[in-house]
Amino acid sequence: MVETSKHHRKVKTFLDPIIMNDENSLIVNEFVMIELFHLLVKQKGKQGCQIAEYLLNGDHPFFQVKFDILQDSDLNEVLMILTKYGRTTTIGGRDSSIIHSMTRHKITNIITNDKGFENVAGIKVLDPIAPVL
Amino acid sequence: MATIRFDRQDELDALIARIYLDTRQKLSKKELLEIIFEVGIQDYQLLKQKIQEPKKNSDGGLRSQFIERISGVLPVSDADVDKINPKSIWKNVVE
Repeated sequence: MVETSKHHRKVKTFLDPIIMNDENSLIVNEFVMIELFHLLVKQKGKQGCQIAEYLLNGDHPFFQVKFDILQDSDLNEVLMILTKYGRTTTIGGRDSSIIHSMTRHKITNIITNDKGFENVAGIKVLDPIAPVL
Repeated sequence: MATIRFDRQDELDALIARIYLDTRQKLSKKELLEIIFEVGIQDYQLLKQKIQEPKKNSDGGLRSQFIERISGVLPVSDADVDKINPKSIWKNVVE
């Protein structure tokens, strides 16, 4: 989103074809959305809020928000993920909720620069700003 | 006003066939049901009209629009660029 970022061009070059491919859907969970709201509002106030509202309410069926922490069993699954990865990797609270959502929706690919996910079994990390080898 | 109703798969198939004859558009059951949920099934002319409406946006159009709306739209001062660290935001105090 931030055009002046040194990573913007690289991320855009990576993401745009993925977004434009009709076979792809982008899924985020409620915690990622809340985190994004915070970032946008903290950085840009009302303008950030408008972007967040578009992401939340706009016409983009390929971009979906999933609400996955609904009951005790969900929290228990998150606890199991943290028990498995929380001490030995950088997987934290929000990350564990993402893994929980990915498992629930049978999603294997995650677009992130967070190396912690590389330690999670069954997840393929797509890093837009990783150096090309 | 022409009216329609269906409560069985056969009637859904018949409705798809009727729409095809009238509009030359072949709909799947899922597509037809989505339209029925939107406009109802009481008025066949309204249903037909809805089916014949040009699509406001193709999925490709929506995807382009999505990129336009979120990509490069957030100017941040040089001092703040690349200082956003999602890992640490939960540690910060929210004003």
